[in-house]
Amino acid sequence: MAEFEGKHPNYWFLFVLLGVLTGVEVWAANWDLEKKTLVVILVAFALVKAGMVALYFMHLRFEWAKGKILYVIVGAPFILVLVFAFGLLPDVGKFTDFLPF
Amino acid sequence: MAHAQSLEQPFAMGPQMTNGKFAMWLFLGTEILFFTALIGTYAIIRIGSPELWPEVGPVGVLNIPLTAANTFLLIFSSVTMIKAFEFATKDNQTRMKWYLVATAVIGAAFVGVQAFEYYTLFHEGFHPGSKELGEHLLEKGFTAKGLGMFASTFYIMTGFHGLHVTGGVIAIACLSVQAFRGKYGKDEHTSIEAVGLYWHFVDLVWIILFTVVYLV
Repeated sequence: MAEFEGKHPNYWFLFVLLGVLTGVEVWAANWDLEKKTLVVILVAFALVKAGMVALYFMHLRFEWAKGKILYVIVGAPFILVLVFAFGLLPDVGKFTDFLPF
Repeated sequence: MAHAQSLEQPFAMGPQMTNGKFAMWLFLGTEILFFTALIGTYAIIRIGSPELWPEVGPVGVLNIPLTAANTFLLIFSSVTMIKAFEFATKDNQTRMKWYLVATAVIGAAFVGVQAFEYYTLFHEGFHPGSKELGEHLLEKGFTAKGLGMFASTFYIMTGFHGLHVTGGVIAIACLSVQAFRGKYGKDEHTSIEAVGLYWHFVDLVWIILFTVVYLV
């Protein structure tokens, strides 16, 4: 795995960034906003942070050159996740006005 | 002649990574589905049955500052883990070993804080099937009926995650012991990379759980 030599990103900078984002997220949870808007904002924060961990700590950002199989492994469950999520949406919309249908 | 050449340069089939790393990614694929099922079920119960939830939401029950600090701790442990891998690839034995030890210690601290949180919440009567609530929850106008489903989903999601962290801490502790025995270095660090992937995934899941369970 010597291919990572000299290519490691600045992990301490990423750590500070993730810490700041977590702090802002906790602060944002107390914003006086409509619930739907707040949920979208908080989930967006979480996805950005999770994406940073996957791309830089799990090195997905740097694996492209070595082959695409890894993205198939990671992508396949996400397709099932989307099927799962969209399968749930009608039930969520049926029981509540959280969704516009 | 062509035959001899093919023996010298065999055609490389399969993924361009070690077996250990490939196996770990396959395992993480199943873990994505596992945690998605948990979070998806939580979402459908939470959004579909709002009457089963305390009106004030998780913020009124759970200790957000403590958990935010714990989140910070887990992210920190991800950095120490990746630094251990980085120094393994650079054959810096001393730093690799101590970053591994630091990761295990910080991970154990995360589990410790979670255990403290569970103890406090149980003491307050925040658990499935609770009939008596503590003063802290009663003052906020909670009833035991409204907390049962919330408590069940909370403990299932955070509990399974906690078990994953505990497993990770044990694995990293084993790596640390092997590192002090001189097993890892520039040419052999697949185990550190594979366990590191697992550890970062556990961190990633917690980032999602913290938002979904504690903040939303």
